[in-house]
Amino acid sequence: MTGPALLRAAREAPDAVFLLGAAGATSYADAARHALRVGALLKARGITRLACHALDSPRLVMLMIGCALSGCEVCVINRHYGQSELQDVLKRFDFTHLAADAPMTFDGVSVLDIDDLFAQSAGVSQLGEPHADPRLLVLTTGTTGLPKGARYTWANLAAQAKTKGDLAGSRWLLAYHLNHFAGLQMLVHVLANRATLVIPAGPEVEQAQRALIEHRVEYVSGTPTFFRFLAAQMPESVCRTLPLKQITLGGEAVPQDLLELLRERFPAAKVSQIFATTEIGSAFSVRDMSNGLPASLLEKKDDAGPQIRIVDGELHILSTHGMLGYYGEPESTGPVWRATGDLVELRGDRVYFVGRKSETINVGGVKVHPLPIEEVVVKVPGVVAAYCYGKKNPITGQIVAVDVLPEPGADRARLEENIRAACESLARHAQPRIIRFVESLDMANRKVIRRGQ
Amino acid sequence: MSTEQRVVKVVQGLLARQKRSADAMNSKTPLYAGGLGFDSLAAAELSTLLEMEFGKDPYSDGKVPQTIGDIVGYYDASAHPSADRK
Repeated sequence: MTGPALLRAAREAPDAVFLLGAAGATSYADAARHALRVGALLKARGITRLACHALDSPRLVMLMIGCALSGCEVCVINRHYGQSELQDVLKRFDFTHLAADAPMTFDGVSVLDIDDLFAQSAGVSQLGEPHADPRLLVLTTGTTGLPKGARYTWANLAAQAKTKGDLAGSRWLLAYHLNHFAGLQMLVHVLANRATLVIPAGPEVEQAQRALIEHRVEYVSGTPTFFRFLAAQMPESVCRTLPLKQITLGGEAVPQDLLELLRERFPAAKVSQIFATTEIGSAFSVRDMSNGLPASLLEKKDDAGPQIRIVDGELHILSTHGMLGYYGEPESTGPVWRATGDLVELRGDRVYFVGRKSETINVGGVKVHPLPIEEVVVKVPGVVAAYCYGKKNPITGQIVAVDVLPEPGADRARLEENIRAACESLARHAQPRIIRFVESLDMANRKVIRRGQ
Repeated sequence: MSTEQRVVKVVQGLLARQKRSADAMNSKTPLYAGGLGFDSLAAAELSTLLEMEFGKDPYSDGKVPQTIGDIVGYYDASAHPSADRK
């Protein structure tokens, strides 16, 4: 488990580097000391649930583990959320304490500055025994477009990590954010292997690229979009000098041309694809460099390894170390079959992905739902109706497009400007990149929203 | 309008949407870090705007232009395919 694993590592390999961030290196011993102190502070203040809104950093990691040690349920919220989205999430999941790296205020929520928390924790007495079964809440995006909270135990999250003796001291890039399930998996994986987590200075690919080069990263797990952009930005000559041993792709479908591009740019790196969802956790990985899954997974009946089945064309997976349940819903006690929302087809000895059950738009691995966007667009004066959809894109897989039915005689240039301004309230990935004016919308097959209804 | 002028106009349109000024741009201007600072979302939008302006775009063709000049070169080469064979 994560907290005790850090304490053990701090005893047995105190000087090994756990976190490498913009401000320098943090050893396992230092990380444990800070996590224990901040955990003790939370406990002393009686904080049992804590939301975090901060850029990825060694401090955020230590705060999260401090929560685990003290038994405080932690939830990292998407750093790109604006004030209104943040307010919604805090309310929806009943948080009364928020740790943040920027000043902000909310009704009924105490906002704690992360740096202050660490400064105040210096004088706090010992934490005592680590909590036996701490929890965390991982936010996902549900089919309704509102985030759902997947309740986890740190123990289940840690159980998904694979340990290998030769990974101690190896360097892994945090290419997913810590609010994201995949970022949490990366954290527990690095900790379980006593490796080093390299945390980029900021959220842009360019910053990840700099961290990758500067810290001689060996292992990178990211979305196909991330790697495509990395390959585009990084000169070929630099690619070849990197000590990359392993590239892991996940989060969205992997195009064959990307697999070939990665093989060409990083010839020494092994490439694998991982299938994981927030609800199920990490299910399996495939190294055969082709689309889909081997059908042999369908026949497995033993307890070892992943088990899948196809129900009405949808992939279901037996979840053994997944979430306990969504926030506000009953918890499961044992292994449970969960639907993935992925539509699949069995062809020959391969299970192919054919699409999503919902109409979710996948923008570079970020799931975007059309309805909330339509709702923003139709509120703009001069708009009669709007239909939002994903348009195929060579870089991010899809981008958000919206068809707009304007009122007769509307000034379209101004209307477009107003729609763009209104959409600034949405997360960046959800902002429509293409706004197209149409004379009519297909009402038979598409449900469009009309003002005044 | 020359190809370069059309490409610059598309890029300026994109910068304007990002509420950024669009001066001091030439064919050597890098598109991403160290230049216009486009990230993957901006590049995705650029590919779509280019497709709308020219009917096709370099990214969908598997090319990853690094500069304004690379984009111009892509369209000029496809307008005069014989130039490739010289």
